[in-house]
Amino acid sequence: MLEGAEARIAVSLREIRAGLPLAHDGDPGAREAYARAQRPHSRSSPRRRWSGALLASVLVGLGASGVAVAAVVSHAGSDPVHDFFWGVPQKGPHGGRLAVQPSEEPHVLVATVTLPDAQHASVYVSAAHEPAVCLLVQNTLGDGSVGQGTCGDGPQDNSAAVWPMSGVLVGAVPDTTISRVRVTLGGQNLELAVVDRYFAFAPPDNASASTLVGQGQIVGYDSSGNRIGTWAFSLPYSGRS
Amino acid sequence: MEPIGYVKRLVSVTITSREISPGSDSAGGAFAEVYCRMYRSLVLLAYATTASVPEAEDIAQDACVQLCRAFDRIRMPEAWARRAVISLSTSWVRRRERERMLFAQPTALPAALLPEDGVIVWNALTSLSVRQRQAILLRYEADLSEREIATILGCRPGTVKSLLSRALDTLRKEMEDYA
Repeated sequence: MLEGAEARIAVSLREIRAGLPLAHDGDPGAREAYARAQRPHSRSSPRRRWSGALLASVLVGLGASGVAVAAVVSHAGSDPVHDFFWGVPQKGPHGGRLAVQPSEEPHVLVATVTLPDAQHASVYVSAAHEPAVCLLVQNTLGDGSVGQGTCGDGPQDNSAAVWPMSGVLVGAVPDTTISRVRVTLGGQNLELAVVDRYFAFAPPDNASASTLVGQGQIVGYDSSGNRIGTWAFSLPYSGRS
Repeated sequence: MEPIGYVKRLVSVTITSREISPGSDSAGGAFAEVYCRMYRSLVLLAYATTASVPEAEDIAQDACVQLCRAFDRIRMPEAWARRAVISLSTSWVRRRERERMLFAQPTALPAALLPEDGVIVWNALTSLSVRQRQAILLRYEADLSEREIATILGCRPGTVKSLLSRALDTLRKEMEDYA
């Protein structure tokens, strides 16, 4: 039986343990560890492999415009959604932090980036096309749009387009009521979630996003499944639509 | 761009998300049980070295992944996992030293996370060496014997006794000062 200072230490440490804010606690964390253990080459956490790219993009945007801006990061993995949960929470080189929560959509995660100056930006994560995971980081501080110049050469107006960025293809639709798109490109039909006009997906057949040539089609639907519009696009993207 | 015609209504979104349940076989179920029982304890042990909850959680998760892979061959999984956390924490410190970003002491946990007396106890813990902190956590949080702690820390029981004794002396003084 511990007494005095020893008992006090033991009680306090157990209370601290119980209050730790953990992302991988309980059964979900066990499932995640179990899943990682089944991958023979998963030697380091996915977070370490690519968080730098994401945060660098966010911070570059901060430096350029003073607010958080857009970034898309691709990540190859066999279990992308679970992989991404591993990145919760993370701290950037300048103090920014990223936390991710599941959304109502099984393949969309919503994250919050807390930046050093107490500003916030929303991060939308879409497991768009296995094995790629694409992230859309959208500024919610200014006008609500993805920052100019930060989504590569994407459209500056509210038009529909698809363009390459960071090894994946990023798409935009002009209507914020669109929650789903069907994208046809290179013989593939992809059904993707749209978050605030944007979606992202991996190039078909492991093609290079930056050199892909072809014509495709976007069909947009609202949350009730009503078709909102259909748009054609061409790659390589040639600028404003 | 102009609309180019009607396309069949979207029925569903097809995203493959592989569900793996650790409870799907007996080894996985046993692993999940150990994980759920000791994960927080492992994080706290790693935190004593890293001073960062996210880093500590990474280390604890990595240790659990290693544990899972070797689970069938391990006789004492809890001691094995704690040993792995100590080892991974040490590697983390060495990496940090190489990057010249070493945290000399654990920073304070957010006050909101701490129980009333926990603030005093945790602040007092920051005055200890990493090795002393690890020994204190293993003794008073994990409730291990000196012999068990010695196995995990890779030293003799006498060394553990000395570590704990000196650490307790320091803690008593620090806690009096804070109070």
